[in-house]
Amino acid sequence: MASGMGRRGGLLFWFIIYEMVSWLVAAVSGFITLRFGHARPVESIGFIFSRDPLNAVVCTWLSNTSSFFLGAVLVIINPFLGLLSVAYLSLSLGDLLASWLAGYCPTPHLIYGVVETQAYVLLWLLAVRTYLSQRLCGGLTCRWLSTVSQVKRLLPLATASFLVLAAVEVAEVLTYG
Amino acid sequence: MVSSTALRKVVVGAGTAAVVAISIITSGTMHVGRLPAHVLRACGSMALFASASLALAIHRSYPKRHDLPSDFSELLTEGPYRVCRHPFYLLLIVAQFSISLSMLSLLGLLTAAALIPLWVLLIRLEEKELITYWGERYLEYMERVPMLIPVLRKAGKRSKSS
Repeated sequence: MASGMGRRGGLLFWFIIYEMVSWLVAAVSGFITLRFGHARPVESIGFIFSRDPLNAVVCTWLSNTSSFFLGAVLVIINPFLGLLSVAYLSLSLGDLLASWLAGYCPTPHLIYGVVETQAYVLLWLLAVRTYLSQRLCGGLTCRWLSTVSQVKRLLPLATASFLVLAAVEVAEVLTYG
Repeated sequence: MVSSTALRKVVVGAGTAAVVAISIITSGTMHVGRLPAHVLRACGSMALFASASLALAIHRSYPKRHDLPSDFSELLTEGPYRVCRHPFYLLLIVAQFSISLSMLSLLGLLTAAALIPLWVLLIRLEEKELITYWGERYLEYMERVPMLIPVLRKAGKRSKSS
């Protein structure tokens, strides 16, 4: 399996593709919003200020977790379909970028947005790894066991990552918002 | 008499497509509070990811043609087939419910529930074909492994033995 990772169609290939699509979509959509649409203040900042911090952390955490896993379903079906998830996610980063350029979004929130997008992409790559291992396994038992172990790893890892990110986002908005 | 191949196309293909479409169209129609809605969405999407990943692991092990028992070179009894006789269908059923839950679609959940008798009918039809093809081996496998839900079989055995 390790030998398959570096080849075209391996994990590195998908990492590069996902990163390229992510930055490209964010840059293009940010430019279009700024040039032809109208950049608005960031909604998530208003959302966080409108409720108590704990509630904001829980809502942000659960919302990000469900978005991540819905996107991961496309990734596991085929990493090419996963590009839709990456592109859709990057539209929000584009909005954030436009909002920052228009002076509505504080710089720390933009940095947080970039970090969050990277977290999504890296965690989706773990789903790509599950897809690749399913392709490389020879039989049903190998495929089943490797998928079970990778799903068992990804579920708590993604959930914990988004909890930490939600706490960081709420703290960042309340500090710099 | 309906053939299992035709019924499979209806339940697996059209049924799943219907649940997905209905869930998307009627998304957000399950009216619960804001926090429970977030919890249901998150649980639904996690269950959807897990069930889709595991179902794909099984499906990617099938031969290209897998409509009839004769398309398989051996009787599948290893890996997920140790847990229940139709793990792929079980995971698809879970996926159908999960997608409705993640979209908070009441109509989607009802559609998934309405499909259950068809799943059971499909399994019964398939098992008849499997018994005809594999004979004694499949009957012995049926004795050992529950049809769809492992827990029910274990509970049943325990109550019998007590």
